[in-house]
Amino acid sequence: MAPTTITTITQTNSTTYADEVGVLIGLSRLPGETSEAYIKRLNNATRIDTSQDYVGLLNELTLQLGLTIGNVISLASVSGNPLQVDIALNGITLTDTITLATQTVPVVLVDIDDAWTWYMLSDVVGTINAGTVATATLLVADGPTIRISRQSNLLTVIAQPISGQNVNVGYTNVIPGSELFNVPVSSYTPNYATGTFVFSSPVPTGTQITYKRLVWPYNIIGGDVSLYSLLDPAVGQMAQGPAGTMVYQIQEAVEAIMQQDQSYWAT
Amino acid sequence: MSTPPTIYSHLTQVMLNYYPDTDIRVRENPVTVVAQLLNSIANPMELQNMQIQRELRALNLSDVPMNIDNGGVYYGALVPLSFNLPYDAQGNLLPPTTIKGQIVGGPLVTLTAYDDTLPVPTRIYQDSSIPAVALSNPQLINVTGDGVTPFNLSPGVLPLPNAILFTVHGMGSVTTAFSISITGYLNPPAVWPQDISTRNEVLVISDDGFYQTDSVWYSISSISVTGLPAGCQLIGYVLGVQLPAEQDIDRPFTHPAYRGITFPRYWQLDDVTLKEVYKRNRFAGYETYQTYLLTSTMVDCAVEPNTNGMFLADGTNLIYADRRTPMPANLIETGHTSEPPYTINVWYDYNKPGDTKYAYISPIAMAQASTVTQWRYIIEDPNGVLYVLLPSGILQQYSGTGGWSDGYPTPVAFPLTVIGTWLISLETLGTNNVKAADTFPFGNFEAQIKTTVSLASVVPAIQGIAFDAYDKLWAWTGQFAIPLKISYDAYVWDPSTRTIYATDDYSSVTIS
Repeated sequence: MAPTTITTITQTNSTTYADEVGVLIGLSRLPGETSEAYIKRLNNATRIDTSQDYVGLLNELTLQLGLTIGNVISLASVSGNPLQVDIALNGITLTDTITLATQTVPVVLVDIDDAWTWYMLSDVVGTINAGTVATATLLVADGPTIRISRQSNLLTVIAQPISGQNVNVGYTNVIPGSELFNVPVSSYTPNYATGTFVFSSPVPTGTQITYKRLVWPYNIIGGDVSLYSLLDPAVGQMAQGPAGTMVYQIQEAVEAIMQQDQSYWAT
Repeated sequence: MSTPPTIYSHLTQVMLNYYPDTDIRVRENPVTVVAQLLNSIANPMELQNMQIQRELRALNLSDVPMNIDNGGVYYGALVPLSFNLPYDAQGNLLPPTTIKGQIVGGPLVTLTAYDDTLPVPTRIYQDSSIPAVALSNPQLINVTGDGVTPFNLSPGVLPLPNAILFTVHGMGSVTTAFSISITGYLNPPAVWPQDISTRNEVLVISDDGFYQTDSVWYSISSISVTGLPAGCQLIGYVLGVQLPAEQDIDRPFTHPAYRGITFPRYWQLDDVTLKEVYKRNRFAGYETYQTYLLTSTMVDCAVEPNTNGMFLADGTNLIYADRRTPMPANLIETGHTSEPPYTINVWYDYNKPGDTKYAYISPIAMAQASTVTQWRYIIEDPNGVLYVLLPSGILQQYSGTGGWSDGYPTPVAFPLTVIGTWLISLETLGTNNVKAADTFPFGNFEAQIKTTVSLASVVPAIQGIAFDAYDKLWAWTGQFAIPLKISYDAYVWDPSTRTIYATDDYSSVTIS
């Protein structure tokens, strides 16, 4: 038979052993995704938080859509002291935890048309390096700061079980005075920097400790996906343009919500 | 009529060992009629075993088979209805006789049927999706114990994420165990601080051998070794290149003298010889089961996980071979109707290592052994040339009357100078000059090389090769580890949809 040439060629996934695991984990393979990439996603799914909070939602989005989140800017402290890093719509706030020197770097500009214009990551790095609190290094290709997620390196650990007399909570840089216990405990000598508490007698069975800790050193996290909602604490500050009107992006969001849920329309 | 298998399954010996240990010939001779019959059953059992192994691995997220099924991505080409496809005798639709794929910017290549039990590579190049990493020393730890001193180290972020492979040698007569405790972060690393948590894995080891962590590590904050016996050497590899021996985990070795016990099987390189070895215990060391002649001196080998293949590297080329034992050819001798006074057993002569392989012939006295008056060995080389083997080990041109010795047969070794199956016979003359003979086909094999792919354009010189925990093949240059991507230029045929699923992306597929 005469040769026949087929030019319509379609990429297809086959069912592999990785897909068997995917069924158990509840994560399906993306079109064209290799077993290698898929297994990486499945591995992530078993370890990261996918609950309903901000980080959990971002994690779930990256898992389901095959997107990436990672470190985008590394930070170092000019003084050598740990820095508290808080990032929201209103900017990146860097605070030296000892000297209390602070620098706030905006991530978004409300332009003359009442629309948000995102700075570039390199702009943010440049601004930080021009200050006196921290130095920054860009770890990824340049892009708009919308890629930076909302975040803070001040974390709260809730109800961690502890036992014994010499307790190491497993984290360094516990915030002094932030610790709370669910039951009365004996007097103790804390070493907040190392996260250890030496009690005068063993803590009662079932004791739990709640405390704040600072993650340091810290890299700013961002990636392919970012989330901002009307519940963001900084929306109130950033939603208003120079002329006092609502910024364009918020208008769009509100309108979309109203279209979805007609109960918002006043009668 | 079906053809007998050309592979001697490693499970055949498992079945042969069900015969009583007094039946030495059935237990030890791999080519008796019994062995050949059982081998025809053992081969499909081995295939089933491979599939079961794959299923079991899929239960562990860090061990899911990744290198098979073309990574789960194919490129489908629908054969038009206007193209008349052939049918087989059972009426099944067959693929087109010839299938060719046009590589984008490259040649038109003929595709072969994809076999994921032995996926033969056609092209190998650097995997651009994974960065090459600097790796001047693949060993994380290399210590020798004194029985007291603990060892601690903090390697930090690993050059590449991997399970850590430990080799233990020199436990000697120590019967206690020592432990390796590893603490660090698993791969892939979590990004958010609240998701980051350390893991710990402890290996408790009480014998020489190879041990691998279950976890795939991204970084290791500490490796602590306690109780390492005096004189015992522990080496931990972040990438298992240039190992003292390469494990063949899926094919344990069964020894004819040990019913129901399996021993670890390994591969070793010795100049131009590839040795298939096993280890009965820490005192016996590596014992040779089979040897294979190679085309050139190799620097390293890597058993391909989840398949029957293995890779070898000679510095410039990657060689892909079937690592299963071939059946000897020339199995033409019919079975005996009466027991000969002497039978023979033949094996590789461990006392004569080197490029030339020696066969060691051991006569085994049977019930009528005392009736033997004269004997001689007759050898037929793979080319059909006959020789008489003298007791001194010298091969002499065959003659009908030459080479007879008085008395009882004695063991002898002789060099195998030609690749292929040698037919080795012991002829005896008994009372009234009754002649009896026993023949043993002994394979002087070469490696079953399926393809050789040059990596000259990818790496300057290969010093080692290894698969990582994700079944990814890496080439080690001595300074860098290079991830490799393999193309097969093959296809899978789906008759129900008349679709050719190619393993690689082509601009067009031509069928005829």
